[in-house]
Amino acid sequence: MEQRIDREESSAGSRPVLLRPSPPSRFCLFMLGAESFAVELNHVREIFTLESITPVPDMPPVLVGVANVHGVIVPLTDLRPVLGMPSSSALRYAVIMRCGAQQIGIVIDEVPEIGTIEANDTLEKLPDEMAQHRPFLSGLLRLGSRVSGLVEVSRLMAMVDGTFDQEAA
Amino acid sequence: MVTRSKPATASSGFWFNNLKAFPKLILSLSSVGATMIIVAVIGLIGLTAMKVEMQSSYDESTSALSNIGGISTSLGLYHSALLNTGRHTRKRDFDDAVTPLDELKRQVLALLDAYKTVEIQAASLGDRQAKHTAATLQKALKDYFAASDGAIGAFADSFNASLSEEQKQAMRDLGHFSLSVDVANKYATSTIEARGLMNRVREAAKELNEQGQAEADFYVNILVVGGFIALLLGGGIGYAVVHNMTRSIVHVADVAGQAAAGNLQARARLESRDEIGRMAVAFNAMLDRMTSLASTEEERDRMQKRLLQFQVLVSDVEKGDLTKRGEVTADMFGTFADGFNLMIQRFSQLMRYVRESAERVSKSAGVLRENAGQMAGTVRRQADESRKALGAVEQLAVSMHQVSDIAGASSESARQVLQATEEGHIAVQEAVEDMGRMRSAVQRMVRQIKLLDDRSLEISQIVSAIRENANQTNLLALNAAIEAAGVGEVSARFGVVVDQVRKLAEGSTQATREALDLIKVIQSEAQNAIVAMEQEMLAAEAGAASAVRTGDLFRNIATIAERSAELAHAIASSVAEQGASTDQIGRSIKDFTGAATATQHVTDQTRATVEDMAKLAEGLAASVAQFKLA
Repeated sequence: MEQRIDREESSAGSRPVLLRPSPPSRFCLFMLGAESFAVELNHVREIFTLESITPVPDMPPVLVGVANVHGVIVPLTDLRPVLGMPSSSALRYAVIMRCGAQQIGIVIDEVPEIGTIEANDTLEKLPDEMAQHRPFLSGLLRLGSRVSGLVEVSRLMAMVDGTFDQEAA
Repeated sequence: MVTRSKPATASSGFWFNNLKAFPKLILSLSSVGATMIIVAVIGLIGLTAMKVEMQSSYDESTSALSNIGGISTSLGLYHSALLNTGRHTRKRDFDDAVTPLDELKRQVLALLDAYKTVEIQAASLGDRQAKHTAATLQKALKDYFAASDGAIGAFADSFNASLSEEQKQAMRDLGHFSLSVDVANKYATSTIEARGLMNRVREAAKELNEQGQAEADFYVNILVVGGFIALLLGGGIGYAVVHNMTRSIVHVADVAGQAAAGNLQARARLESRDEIGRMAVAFNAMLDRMTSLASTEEERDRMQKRLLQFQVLVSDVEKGDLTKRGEVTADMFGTFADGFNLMIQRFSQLMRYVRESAERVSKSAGVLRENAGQMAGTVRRQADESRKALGAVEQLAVSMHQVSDIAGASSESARQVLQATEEGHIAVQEAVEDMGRMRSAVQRMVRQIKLLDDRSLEISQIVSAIRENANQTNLLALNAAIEAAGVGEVSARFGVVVDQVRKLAEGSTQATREALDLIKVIQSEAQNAIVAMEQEMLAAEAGAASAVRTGDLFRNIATIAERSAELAHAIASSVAEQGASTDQIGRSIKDFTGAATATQHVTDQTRATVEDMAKLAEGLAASVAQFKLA
């Protein structure tokens, strides 16, 4: 759905891009520890309370298990080890995202919020060191005063697949 | 008579020379006697005046001193009794203590009245601008009694049954305050007045004594000088008269000698008409007749012999031997010798009497002087006695002042102890009550805080449930929003509603989060409060322990109050000693009275001596009159 946002990436790389809300574009904003992340609402399928996680043997550490969402088995990722945060406590909610026919869930602690693009909100290019450690982000979304990493579902899936491939290899 | 006798000493007094020998001698002796009587009368007047002065000095100083001493003693007893009344707490004791006060007060006022009658006379002697007088003392005493009546009234009111305990205590405090401040001040003023008055009376008495002594010295001097002058005058007059008479006799003797030697032309030249003058005239006549009649040698020899004998006799008489007598013969010479003998005899009698009189007068004067000296000594002893009495009275005043000081201090300290004990008692009771109240209040508060804690726990559970619901609502709204995110007008409007719901749910979540935080704060504060309350309880326990210790302290204070009572007892015994001191004053004043009586005796004796002298003079006059007849 990248056509909904006018990105003028042809110009200078670090210059912030002004977002135009026509038609209004909305994001799902959630927290992991102290860090805020955003996912385009069109990519979110559902948010639900985790009743139970079914562990799968021989999974890479980024995956915590699978859950049954309306009859579909969805893998669940815990991004906290990737972000260098402790992952001891159990998380209560899961954000289920889709990319084409594939679905993936991120476990989170609190119920996410919904943010709508306003007139002065911008999308910035990710700093280099951040892009290195967080390969699933495509930029920094500034909505009002809140700065969130924009999660690109396809990259996330690629990262999970990559680690899965590494594990398999 | 005195003025007329004065020219007798002058040789030019013609009329005196013409007097006969007896009147001449009587005149001279009378003048001497009159001088002595005048001296004696002066001495008598002086002694009488001195007696009066002694009497007045005794009356004024001694009775004034005894009155003031009595006033001071009665006043001290009154003040001591007054201080005692304040210590009684039962009505019967108080009434017993008040009863003797009226009697003491009446004594003080009666003594003051007695003193005032004396003081009116003393004021005429002392300085009129005196600072301490009976009037100022009376004023000070009036103030003092008014103040003490007020204090007694306050104490009497404190036993009024209609008053409450606090009012009674207030009245007692008022009485104590009045005693320790107002009455004590007035008492000090009265004591100072009495002491000042005493000093003033002492000055007046000293002045009177000195005056009396000076007067006595003055009259003694007058007596001595007057006696000396009288003796000198008598001696001078006697010498002049005798010298005048012997000179005439010597002249006759010279003429007789010349006649005896044969010179019958010699004649005696005497102009006086007294016995010697008449003798000289007779002698001249005899010589005339002898000149005419003596013709024979034998007769002339006999006459010459007779004349020689007469000359020897006259020369003997001239030498002062009045025992010689002329031979009385039948002739003319016998008649002459007989007259001469009679004259000599009377003359010698007169001279003897004069000599005896002079001796007795001089003896009397000696006795008079001795008596006067004795009187002066008595006066001096009297002064010493009065000074001793004054010293004792002064000591009495000082000791009374000390007694009043001790009594005042004791009363003040007893009052303070009483007040402090009562205040302390009240404070301890209040402290105990406060601690009890505090303990129950703390217990109630702890209970309520625990209830509050329980309630907040319940609230936190409720809030958690609300939060859970809000979360679920939020989640539902979120999913609804996700479902509505499709393209289209309807879905967009639905999305707006869903957004509102979701925002409400988010607000609820936020509110419950804040409520939970608040509840956590409340719970921790409740815990802190419970801890603080427990510490408060411990402090209250410590306070109770200190209250118990305070109770012990009050027991000690009660012991001190007992000692203060002993002090008051010491004051009572001190006042008794004062009574003994007053007795001593009485004895001193008695001694003073004895000395005054002795002075009176001496004065009477002196008067008797002087009367004896007057009688002597009368006897002299009578003797002389007897001679006049013969």
